[in-house]
Amino acid sequence: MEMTGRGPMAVVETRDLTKVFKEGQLGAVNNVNLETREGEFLVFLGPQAPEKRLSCG
Amino acid sequence: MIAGLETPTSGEILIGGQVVNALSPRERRIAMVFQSYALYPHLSVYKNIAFPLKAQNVNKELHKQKVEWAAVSPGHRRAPSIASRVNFPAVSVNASRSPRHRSRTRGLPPRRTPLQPRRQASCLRSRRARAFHRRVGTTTIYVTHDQVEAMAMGDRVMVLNKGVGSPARHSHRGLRQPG
Repeated sequence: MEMTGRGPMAVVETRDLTKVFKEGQLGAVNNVNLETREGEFLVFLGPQAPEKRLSCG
Repeated sequence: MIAGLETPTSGEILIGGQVVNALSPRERRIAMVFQSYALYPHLSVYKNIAFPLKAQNVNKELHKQKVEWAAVSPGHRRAPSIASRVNFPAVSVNASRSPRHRSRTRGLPPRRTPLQPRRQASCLRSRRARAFHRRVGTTTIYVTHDQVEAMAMGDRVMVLNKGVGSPARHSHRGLRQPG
């Protein structure tokens, strides 16, 4: 997944961010790539709260 | 994981171009607000805003200026629970007296409907948060399951479903073409 932001500089960036709680199981967060630019308001939207919270927390 | 409260299994997190995986939440110098705000109930709104500045030893005059600038409501001298009642009275009153509700109750005394005030409060909160973001201009990542809120608030929306993220898109296209 590639995400392109606006503006000159990426402030927060994740590269293939993954969180697996039990080995062999699908991760709660799988290879998430994001990039937010300076002053941007990025919204994480999704039906399951834990994965979104986990990515931010 | 971005704030540092959870450790990723793999991957990198960069803030300001620097990999911060090994840094503690404090060292990352970013702020996180929980869904329930986690305010100190015994402190006024003013003192809640001032507390982190006090902890950083910012001088009193400067932190007074900053709090006055950031305080979005006139009730900032009150406790958070009272201030929110003061700021949102219109929400509950309007909802309880809406014509639709009156016609359903057929002349019975107005009763509060649980859904409507919550929806209105959410819209009001979104508008205030967006207006505050425009004033402050800080880079913000906002987590929600509410599509309307996402569209209203975000410059870009990233859909995260079953642990897989879709590319972030500008909010007007984000929901139509999430992939």
